[in-house]
Amino acid sequence: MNKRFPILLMSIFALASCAKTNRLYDDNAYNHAEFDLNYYLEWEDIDELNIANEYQGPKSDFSSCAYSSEDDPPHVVIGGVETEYTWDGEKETQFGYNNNLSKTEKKFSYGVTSKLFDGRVRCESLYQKSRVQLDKSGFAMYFPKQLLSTKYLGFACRGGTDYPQGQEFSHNDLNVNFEWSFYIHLNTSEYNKITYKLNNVKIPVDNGGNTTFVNFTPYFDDTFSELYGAVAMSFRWEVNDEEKMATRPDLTDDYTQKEKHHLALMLYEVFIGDSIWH
Amino acid sequence: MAEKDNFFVKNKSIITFLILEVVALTAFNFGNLSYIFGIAGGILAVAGFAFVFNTEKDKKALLWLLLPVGLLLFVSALGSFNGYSKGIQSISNVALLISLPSFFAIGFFLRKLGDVKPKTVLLVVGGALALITLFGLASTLIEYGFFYSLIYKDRPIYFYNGMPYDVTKEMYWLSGFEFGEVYIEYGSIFAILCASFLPGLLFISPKKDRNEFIISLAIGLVGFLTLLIIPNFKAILVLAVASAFGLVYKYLSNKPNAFKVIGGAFIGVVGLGLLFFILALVNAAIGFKFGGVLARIFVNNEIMVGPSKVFAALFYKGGKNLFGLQAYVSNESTLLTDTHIFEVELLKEVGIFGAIVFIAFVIMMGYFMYKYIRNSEDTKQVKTTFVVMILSFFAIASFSWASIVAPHNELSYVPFLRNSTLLVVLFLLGYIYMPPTKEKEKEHE
Repeated sequence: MNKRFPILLMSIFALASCAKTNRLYDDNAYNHAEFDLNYYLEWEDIDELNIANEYQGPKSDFSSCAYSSEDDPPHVVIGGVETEYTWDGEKETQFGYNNNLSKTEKKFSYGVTSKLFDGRVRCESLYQKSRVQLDKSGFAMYFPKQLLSTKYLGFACRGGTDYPQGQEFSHNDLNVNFEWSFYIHLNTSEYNKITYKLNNVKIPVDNGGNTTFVNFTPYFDDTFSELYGAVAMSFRWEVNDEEKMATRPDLTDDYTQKEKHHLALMLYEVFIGDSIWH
Repeated sequence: MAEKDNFFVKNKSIITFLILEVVALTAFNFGNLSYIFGIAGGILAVAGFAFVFNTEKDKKALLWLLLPVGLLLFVSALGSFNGYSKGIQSISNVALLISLPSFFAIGFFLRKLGDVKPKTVLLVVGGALALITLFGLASTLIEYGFFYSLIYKDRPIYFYNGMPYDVTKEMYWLSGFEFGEVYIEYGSIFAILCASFLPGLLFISPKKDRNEFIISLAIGLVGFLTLLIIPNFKAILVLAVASAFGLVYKYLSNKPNAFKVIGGAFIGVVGLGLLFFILALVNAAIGFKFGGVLARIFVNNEIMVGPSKVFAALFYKGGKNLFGLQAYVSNESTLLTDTHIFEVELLKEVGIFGAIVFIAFVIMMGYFMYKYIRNSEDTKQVKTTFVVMILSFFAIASFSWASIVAPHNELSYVPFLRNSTLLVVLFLLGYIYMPPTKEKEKEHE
């Protein structure tokens, strides 16, 4: 038995060894020079969840603001408190740095989706690596922990195209619809799905590092007061601006149309603000 | 007087225990608190001096101790007053000033107190090193699996806080009170010190000295397996070269010429390295005038890019930085360039004069190590283990040192002089330091 013990121990280590090497990528993953190689298309298997009920929120309006200047940061109302929203993730006084999810829970620091929880909310030099480039089909992910409560939800994004430089699709106010869903664990086999539809949000496209910040407080009908028990989320978007898209007939938000130029959503940050996780 | 002597004789086992405890905690790098243990080492050095002074008749040896301690004090003084200056860092500065000479001194005092056998000292130090390395080995296996730096070299990137990191450059380690990613070079220093126990096994019998053999083997294997599962070939190569000392000592020790030839070759390699180092410094001092092939050798290559930045900074603004780069822990990329060469790291930390004095100290210790091998009554196993540990440390520090510890935090900068393993090695050097004694001189006469 004694002789077998070291072998057994090593076998356990070998079997367990997967945590950091589960998902590895090549050197330029999600930051290739070629636009199409940077799409994040992961849709984890949340479609297999047994959904008991579906709800829609929010009842209250969301707020959004386009942010263009470091010198004149906009003020947004988050959880009833007016907050100065600034983009630089390195300075302690600033919004992204103080409110990112990685700071709350270390488990959010790993994986491609950690780009969404790192506090870097705007495209600026090194921060451009912090974007998640989405096709309109969006993405779905399981949280590394279960959400117990949150006071507000928000995200920072902009649009980006694969036009060569000099031919940017420079619109600061392209209308976009978002659909953000949370999957709430009810019991061993059932889940509730809560979806927030945010329509006609104006986002900047190919306009330097400018981003739009969208936020809202997750109030629901009487059934729910918070997102207690959320284990996963999905995020979709689509352009809702026929007029502006008509000026560029060679442009599409559909990644699968290979013959056209592509418009992608550059999602920089997702805020599940003041949250508690289990 | 007799009563006083009696007090020191009676209580010297307490000071012995405390020295071993502080050294073991430092070797384990408990809580990343080596600066606290550095201060504790200072207190123990004072106490140890009192005990040795009152129990040891050979006062001349204590005078000889002033030489290495003085050199280390000079280096640590330069390191202390150059760089950190605020808050806890000022405590860290005081600790640095005290710790380098103190750890050498407590090693020396422990030997003079004579309460524990050298092999016990080795097992205490090795045990502590092996414990933290074992944690590193287990957690690295769990997180990365076997041979990951080879297996994943084509797809090495993972994301942390939105940024790409290379999995083949890191390992898992107990850092402070939590496990996290560190650079392979950092963990490998502990591992190579443990693996240095293996060559000593050539000199003991697994049957006669069963327990000692098993413990030494376990310590050595923990270190070697840690290097192997990554695998860190550079460290394994350094270990192999340092371990060759054991083979030479076992099979060629009765041939004085063999020692001379190997010693000559060793001095030659070190001399060539120093010559290269001096030429690279001269080139920087004259404004990088070397061109063509010389520029490629001394500046424009993968190894010399980092050192060249440091050399340039050293001679910047009329030699203002000759005593060490000011505020070397800063956001300036030059100062945070990890050169992986301890001699160059010393230039950052204590400048050209401090680096020269420290290198002189190391060379002097090389001489005393030779004296230790020739004259000490320690067993060959003990001598081999001490020597291979020290050789491995300075060799790996010359080729593969890590001043930036954690890949996720480039400000996790642990200067060479503040690294806990250096304190352990200084303790070992102090322990084997054999200054000329009256008895030896009389024998000589």
